Amino acid sequence: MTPGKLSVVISDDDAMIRDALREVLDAEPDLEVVGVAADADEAIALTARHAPAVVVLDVRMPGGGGGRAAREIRRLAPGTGILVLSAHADLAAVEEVREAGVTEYVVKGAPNRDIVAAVRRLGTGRTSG
Amino acid sequence: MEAQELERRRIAWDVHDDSIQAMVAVGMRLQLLAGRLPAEHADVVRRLDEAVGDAIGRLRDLVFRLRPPELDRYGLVEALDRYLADVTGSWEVGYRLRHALDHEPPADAAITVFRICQEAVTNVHKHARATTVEITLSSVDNGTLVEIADDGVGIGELPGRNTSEHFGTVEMRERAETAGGWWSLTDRPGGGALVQFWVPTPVEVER
Repeated sequence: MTPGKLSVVISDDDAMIRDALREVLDAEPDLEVVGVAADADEAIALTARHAPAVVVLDVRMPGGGGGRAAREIRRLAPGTGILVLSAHADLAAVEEVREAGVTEYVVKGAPNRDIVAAVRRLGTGRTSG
Repeated sequence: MEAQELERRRIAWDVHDDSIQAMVAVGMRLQLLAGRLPAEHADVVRRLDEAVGDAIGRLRDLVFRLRPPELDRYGLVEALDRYLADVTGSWEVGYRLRHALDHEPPADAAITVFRICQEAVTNVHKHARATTVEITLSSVDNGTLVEIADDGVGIGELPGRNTSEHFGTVEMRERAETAGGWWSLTDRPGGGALVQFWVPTPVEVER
């Protein structure tokens, strides 16, 4: 991890979203993507390993989805901020991650700057990174 | 009926999980590109990104129309009310939903009623140029009678009309008749169109 940058782990089971998200975040001078996961297990493992400032979770992923990942990450890396990306039709899943203690979520298709701003909000409010 | 609903659900999830995600990724990359280009080119790319955003919106509408109406969760009237509230907001059409049902229709019949209403209201949006649509549900002759009335141009005013072929009327009629009921589309005396249909909705015997 580069000192002074907010480290981020991202996860999404869709490769196109994953790659685009990585590029969007890496394009910001103060953010650095340190891990990329394709399912809940990978997201949990990478977050436990890197203890990033922020993890971005897709609400629907193989391996129990964002809900399970958020619960595990809360336990394993309590200093990591959790941002959930959701789609419009995922209201029940959003409710599940909210119950897991997630307060920040962005609807897929929102402008990149909204995603970047949410990552910064979470990352600068935390101690790790 | 069940197979049809399952197929609709499958298509809805395919569009939701695949097509929309791909478009979202394209949009994210277009925004990145716009940020790297000189102003005169960036504007073109931003407009392209807006077009992608509109396309995502349309695909989400499609998913919304295709997905199951959660009748088991809310019941027919509330599921319809939620649907109408969602769609009419962006259509700038007001709606009134009145009901005098003496019992919740059986599941199959409720899906039939919901889907016909959905089709009829979509037609009002697409063709009627109406400002208000009124939906009335009542229990009649051991069945459910539904009336969908709008204040638009009426079927007589539509150019090149052939109502037996247009506007999903075939699908609506087939749905009603398959359920053992009837369906009709007429002009209202005061202007606008009126869809009426009835399907049998007997009280289910508790087992």
